[in-house]
Amino acid sequence: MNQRKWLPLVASAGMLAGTFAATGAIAPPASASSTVHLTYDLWDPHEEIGYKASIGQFEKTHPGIQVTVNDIAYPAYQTKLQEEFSSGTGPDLFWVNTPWLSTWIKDGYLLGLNKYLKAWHVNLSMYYPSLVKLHEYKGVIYGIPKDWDTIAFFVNETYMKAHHLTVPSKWTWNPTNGGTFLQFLKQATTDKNGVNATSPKFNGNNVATYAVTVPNAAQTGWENFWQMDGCHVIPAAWASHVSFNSTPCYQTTYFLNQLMYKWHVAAPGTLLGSNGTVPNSQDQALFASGKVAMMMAGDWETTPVAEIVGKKFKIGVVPLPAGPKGRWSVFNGLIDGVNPHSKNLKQALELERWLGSPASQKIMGAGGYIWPAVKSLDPLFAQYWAKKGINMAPFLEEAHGNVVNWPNTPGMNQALTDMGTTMGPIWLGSESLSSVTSVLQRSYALANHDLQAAGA
Amino acid sequence: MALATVGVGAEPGARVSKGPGARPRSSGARQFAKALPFIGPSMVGVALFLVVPVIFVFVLSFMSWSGAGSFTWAGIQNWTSIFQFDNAAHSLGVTAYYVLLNIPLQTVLALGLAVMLNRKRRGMAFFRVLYVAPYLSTPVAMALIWFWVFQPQSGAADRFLGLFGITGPAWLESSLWAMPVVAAVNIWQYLGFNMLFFYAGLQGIPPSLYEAAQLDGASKWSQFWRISLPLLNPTMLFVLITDVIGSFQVFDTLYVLTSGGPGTSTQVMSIQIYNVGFQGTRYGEAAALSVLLFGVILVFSVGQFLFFKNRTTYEY
Repeated sequence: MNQRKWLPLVASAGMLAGTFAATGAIAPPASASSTVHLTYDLWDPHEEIGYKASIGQFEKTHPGIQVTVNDIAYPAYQTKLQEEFSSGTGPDLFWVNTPWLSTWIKDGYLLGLNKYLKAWHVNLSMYYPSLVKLHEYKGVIYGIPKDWDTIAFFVNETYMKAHHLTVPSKWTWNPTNGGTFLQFLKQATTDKNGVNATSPKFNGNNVATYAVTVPNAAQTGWENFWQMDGCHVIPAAWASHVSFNSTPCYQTTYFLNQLMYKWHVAAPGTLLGSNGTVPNSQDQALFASGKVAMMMAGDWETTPVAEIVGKKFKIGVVPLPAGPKGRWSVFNGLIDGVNPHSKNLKQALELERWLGSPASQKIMGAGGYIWPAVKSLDPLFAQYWAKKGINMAPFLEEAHGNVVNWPNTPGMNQALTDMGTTMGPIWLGSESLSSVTSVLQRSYALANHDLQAAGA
Repeated sequence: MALATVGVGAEPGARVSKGPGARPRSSGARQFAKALPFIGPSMVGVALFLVVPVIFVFVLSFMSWSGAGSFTWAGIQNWTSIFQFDNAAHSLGVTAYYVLLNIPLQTVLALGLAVMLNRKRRGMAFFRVLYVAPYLSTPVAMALIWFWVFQPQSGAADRFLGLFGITGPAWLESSLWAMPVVAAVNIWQYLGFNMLFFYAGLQGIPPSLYEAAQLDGASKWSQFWRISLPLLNPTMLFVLITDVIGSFQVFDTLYVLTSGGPGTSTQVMSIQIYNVGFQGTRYGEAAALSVLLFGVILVFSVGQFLFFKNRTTYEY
């Protein structure tokens, strides 16, 4: 065979080799360096700054370990992480949020830490007990608690002062007449003629400032109100089914719809992004622009809210009103999951130990990034924000009161997504009690399917 | 005077004579062996990255898999679940609605633009580039810009309407308006690209046909209907096939603009496949939805081929 006939074969072999090399089939030679590189996935760009500072300290005391922090946008986080695990390229350490927790435990993404906690002599009693319990399954603990959050209202104090309003210290709501909560919301809502919603002359179709935002979201929205009226998303952790098919669930959701479309005191869901789910933090923009006077939010939003508001007005915080069953807040906390298949398991565990330690949580709390899960460090976070002029005490007050965990059972994240979608119409227009009921019943069936498909 | 539709094909039974230097025809096997080194890499690529995944998806549609752990046989359960819980019928309807909004208008506008730009006047090249520019932009980036344009109250669209005292709807939060807005954005993005194909098709039509028609007294309109349009059928077939397939598979623009909302009013099949598969980790059901979408696209594509089969000529 002459040279010209060989050419195509050689070229083809070259292309194939190139393809394999490009797709990683031919691995690069292993690094001769003794430094171990860890990957750490998270989703919050504000907390990332604090974690980088904490990890900087860790790297100083562990010179053989370098950590690369990957900030993945929250909407893509679950999908990306699952894809990485499916392809065997999962990060060494990664944030775990409650809606994925049980699915990831079941799917083997999380390493049980009991024997390491014992070896490290970790005193679990210094953390909030409910956080420890949240991340425990069948006696195995899957992460050291590192922060917590509750839900309250950020308040535009400048607006309240200008309208001679003071948020009641003990306000209440009920789905029948709205209680003192609704009364106050009416006072705090003004139309473009400056008339508030207590007046018959109030024009609900031409509102200048709504009193409040209540998004179509479990954690920062309806789950708090549901719980306060005796409605539960799931009956218990690791439940095989959801449980929001009861009258309190229907009437409370209907009440939230009426806040938007009957009394016009809550910003309509049409201003809150897709299905009212605030996918792009539309509520923060509305709050900062003065379009709403109070924003229902979690304390992790303090940094972005303070940044977007700037010096436009003074920010305050007030606790949620108490419902028929008392005042309840959704309580949540994160852990760092350790990848059981990590090639650098020993070093990943060292990082887990550090990030869960009081020393790291001190850095995070004192920098105003998180409420530390170590109870004794709570004042650090409050002090940071007090210096910035924001009193964070209501969040802490709620943490010490009635709290409900964000629902935790296999398939819950998809169930929450489907609930957000199916409940969208309730946030996007006026609905009757019967239509709210049928929407929730449809949502209930879908959520149950999600749980069952995920093996709950 | 009526002008006959032009279509001068190769004469039936015409044979190509072999010249004195013609080489004897190689056997199929020998030809294949010669071609193999050239097409081999592509065949490997197609097999690895297309054929195998497609077969995998078909098989997966009868399995249960969460992306981790083992595969278990599910029989037809995925197929019943997609209709019972995953809104398959609704999503198909929404997808069809999108295709109906998108294709006719986009095709007519693209053809109209191509006809307008198929003139020897100054500045035509500038306009061709201008119309193609949206296609050259990243769909997600463009969708983000349109997302802000259609924001209620603060968006450019509502502000513009506000100049005339009109209060715009919440475009992307209205089940009435969301899909037309998405379709309009897609038409804007792909109009110039389709125009290019029609323009190329028009350029390929011999001027002598128009000259002959003019001599016969045919009007411009008549020339368009009797010469341009019939001879553009191959282009039309290509544009329609690719556009219909692309429209059935729409994802990026729609995901950025509405993510399938409000409610499920813009929840096309691709969005639902993503939700069920990548968010719900019910890969078996997502595979069943994908196979269903594949079947629908196949039916439409074959239908278009059959429609154009006897209406198309490639030679004039």
